[in-house]
Amino acid sequence: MKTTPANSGLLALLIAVGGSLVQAQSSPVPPRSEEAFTSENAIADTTIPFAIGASEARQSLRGAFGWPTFQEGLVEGVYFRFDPDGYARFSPNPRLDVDVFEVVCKSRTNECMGRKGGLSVLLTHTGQLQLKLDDAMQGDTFFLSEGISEIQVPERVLMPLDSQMETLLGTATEIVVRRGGEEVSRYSLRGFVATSSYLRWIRHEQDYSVLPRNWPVPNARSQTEATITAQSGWDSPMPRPQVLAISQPVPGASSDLSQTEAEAQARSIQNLESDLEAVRETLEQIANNSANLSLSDIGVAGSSEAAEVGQLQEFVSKLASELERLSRPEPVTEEARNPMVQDSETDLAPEADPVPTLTTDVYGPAQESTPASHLKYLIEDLGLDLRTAVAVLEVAGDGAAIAPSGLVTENAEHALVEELLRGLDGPEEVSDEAAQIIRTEEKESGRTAEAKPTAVVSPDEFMLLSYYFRSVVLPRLEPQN
Amino acid sequence: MRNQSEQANGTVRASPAKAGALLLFTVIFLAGASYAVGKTARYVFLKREEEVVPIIAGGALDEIPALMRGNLPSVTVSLVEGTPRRAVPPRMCEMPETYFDQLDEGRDRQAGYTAKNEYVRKFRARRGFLTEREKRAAKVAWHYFEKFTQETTGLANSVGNYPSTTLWDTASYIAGMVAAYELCLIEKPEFDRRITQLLTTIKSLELFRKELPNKVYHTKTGAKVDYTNKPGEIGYSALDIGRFLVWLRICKNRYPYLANTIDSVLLKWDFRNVIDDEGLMFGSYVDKETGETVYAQEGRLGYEEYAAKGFALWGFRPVLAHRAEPFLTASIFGIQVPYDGRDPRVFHSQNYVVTESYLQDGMELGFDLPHDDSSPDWLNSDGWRAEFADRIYQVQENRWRRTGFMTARSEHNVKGPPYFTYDTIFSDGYPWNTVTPRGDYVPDHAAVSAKAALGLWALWDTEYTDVLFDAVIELYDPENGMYEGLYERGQGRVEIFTANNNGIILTALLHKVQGTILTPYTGETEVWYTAFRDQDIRLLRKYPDPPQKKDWLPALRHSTQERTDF
Repeated sequence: MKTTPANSGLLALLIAVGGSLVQAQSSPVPPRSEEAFTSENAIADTTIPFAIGASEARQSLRGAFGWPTFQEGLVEGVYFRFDPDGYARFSPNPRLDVDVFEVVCKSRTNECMGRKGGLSVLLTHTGQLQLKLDDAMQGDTFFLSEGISEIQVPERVLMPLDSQMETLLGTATEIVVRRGGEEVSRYSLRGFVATSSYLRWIRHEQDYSVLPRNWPVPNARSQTEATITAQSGWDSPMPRPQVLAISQPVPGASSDLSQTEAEAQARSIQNLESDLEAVRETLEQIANNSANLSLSDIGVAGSSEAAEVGQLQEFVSKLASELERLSRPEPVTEEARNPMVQDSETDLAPEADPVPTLTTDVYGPAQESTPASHLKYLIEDLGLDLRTAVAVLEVAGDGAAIAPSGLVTENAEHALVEELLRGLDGPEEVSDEAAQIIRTEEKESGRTAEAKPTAVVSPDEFMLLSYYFRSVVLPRLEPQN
Repeated sequence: MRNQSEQANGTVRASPAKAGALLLFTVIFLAGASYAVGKTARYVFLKREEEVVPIIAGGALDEIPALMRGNLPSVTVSLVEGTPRRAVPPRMCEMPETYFDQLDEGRDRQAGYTAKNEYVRKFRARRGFLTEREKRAAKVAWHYFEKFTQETTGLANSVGNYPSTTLWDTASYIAGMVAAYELCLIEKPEFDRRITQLLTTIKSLELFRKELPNKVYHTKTGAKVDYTNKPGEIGYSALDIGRFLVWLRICKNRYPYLANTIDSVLLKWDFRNVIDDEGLMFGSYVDKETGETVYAQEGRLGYEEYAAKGFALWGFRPVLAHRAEPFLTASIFGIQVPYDGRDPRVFHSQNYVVTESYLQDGMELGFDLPHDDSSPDWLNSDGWRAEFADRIYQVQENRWRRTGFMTARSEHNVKGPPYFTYDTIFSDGYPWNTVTPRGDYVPDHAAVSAKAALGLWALWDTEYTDVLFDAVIELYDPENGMYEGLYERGQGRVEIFTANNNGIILTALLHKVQGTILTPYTGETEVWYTAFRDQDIRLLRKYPDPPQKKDWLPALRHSTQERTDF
């Protein structure tokens, strides 16, 4: 996509607005010290290892309060420690003293943020990672460095990250900010993968299904027995570490799923409404400021800003109508559901491939994947046969020009629409639901896997896949600006 | 004729006179013999009795019925050597203006060990009346306790308005109370009301598994709680109890009318597991899996000896806990800084070197042994403790002189994560290591600790401590007390208010006026030693007998550093 000045201005504005919104909703406010150790603030169970080899240990307390335990370990080349309130540090040094990603969580919530100097990493409410650089300004260029070589990355590195960008950041060691060719700042990205995984893990109540595919997850409870710490009365609500090999959905899980789904949707709508309200207020402020400025102050730039403001207002109204539409209960369309229903009885036999563990891949916008990757995902990960997979792609690919990966193909408005849609129905929803299914199945699989190897599968249970398909198709159907 | 006939019969008739004389002689002889035997026996028995008396007074105690041991006097230096006990100083407002003119500070004495392993420090403590600035700091520090003491229980919060406390911090509250009274900030009715309510509450505290006080209590309810201040139990801390015993002994010795109350508090406790036969101290915690009590050795060089002396003041024999060994030294700015030699990787307990425990030993106990009630303040009978303390001071001054960083390191709370830091001189193999309770290195939280700064100022009258004093003496909020400290890297004040900080600051100010806080015991028999003599409770709970000379902790010395090393 060619970046016009208007577009870039709009993009900058959206970055600022988006950034402030994310910051407003995610900025952790540390509680006062004497209140920090109430049991309500314990959001993480330190007996559940974040990675293989991690272990729980006792804190050396002298005072009247504090966390009695913590967990420490080594993963992805960084050492880490975290407390029951989610406070964590990641560093390549075992003293956790240099090059530290520090994670702080908002009191009594699973909303956490990683910090390293002026670099902040946080999760949006849709589950996407977002970077925030304190000294980045409009017009700055960003480079990822691997020590020797550098590659330039687009400005959208400061927007919610797609999977490709996230992977790219995970392989780099530094991010460099340049202004007019001059280096302004340089931030180390060591520990980025571990930190981002940790943020997701905490957000999802220490569920292993949200960790990256190759994450060293312990596969037996016996390996993770903590022998020294944790309060005697600790009654952890967290899931226990188990093998994430689920053969098939469990009958009866759909009601739980639909309830969870409804709750998740309600939360997303609530978040969306608050976001829109904030955008409205911002725009009103901009409009008021513009009105107060004299013509000489505004000049040409002022007129272009006013045009952008008008454009944004129109966009916001469009968003509002979209929100209204999405708020209504929307039955899953037969078109989206039927293919899987037809194939379910034949394809999902007991020996079918396991439901995949969800990875960060699913967080990325599907529209930026290639058809080949779609096909690969459908066959390898979802276990569809080639014919069904091709049929699905045909349904999804009607008129959709799939963009080459790694390039910005939509304008800013479209990107925001997609983000919002993802917040309601997109892959993030899929991942949440899938995680829920996996959790449910973890509990049940031991009882049902052997007892009911050929359990009848109802069509409702494939809503999960239908959501995925819709997430692929819907963005293509959105009007292009 | 008759003689002839008698001779012929073979018999001689004795005269009556002779027989009477013989009888008389025999009677007299027997009487004399019996008198002599009686006299001799009496002499012999009396002589033996003289030999028995010293056995009763201090010989084979095992042969003396337990019923009798409580009446033995606690043997102190003044009793053995006949030296006068240290005088109890008057309250500041009752001191004559010339009080400090006649004070013997031993300035003409040469520094070093004496033949008895006592130690004369290179530095002297700061003595005198409080100035206006110091009085204001004392008032503000006391205000912390006025504000954060709970009316329902008389317990003071450890940190601000968070209703939770430990015995360590409660000892700090008692320190604050004693200082406030002795510095004439409060009068006796107020002092008595507070201390009586506090002791009554402590007596009624539910103990950890009927042994000793739980580590943490809720200050509003007096219920035992866990680290999140929810009802529960954690275990007990031998270090906390040791410090608390120091301050109970200070109160008992200074205010004999509190003796019965204080004794009755301790006579509820069970000491069977806190000190083992070798004299090591053990804390306890609850095993997560089994729920059983686990006893684990507690204390590292610095805190361990201070707490051990607290137990020794009540007749216990923590001989090993009082020894410095195993210790090592680390050379920092030319000073051999002693640290605990027990490897943290093996024992899972960090060997933090901080100022606080040395300050408490110096200010409260005068670096003296528990049985020493007569040596002057400038002569430290627990010699190596004073010598080590001098090193702890010197290395901090050296850091200031060579790097410019004002240094007075201790453990302290911080605002926000990680909430608490051990701001150490040395730990885990690193000098000037500021670490969290879980071991993260957090140099940004390094600070000049207010309590450490004023403690150093009180015990070391030097130019450097004048600088420390200026840095922290106005570090207060009139509404809440003294701030915890001043960040080393310029982030401003450590905006936390704690009982420990304010209590130690008050102790430092009191030490300037009165010297060593612990005064000699002037009473005679103590209920602590005589109670339950008719039952087996003393045996089961391991209540000690009055300490005799053989029970004294030994006065030891360690090699001194002659010159700075580089």
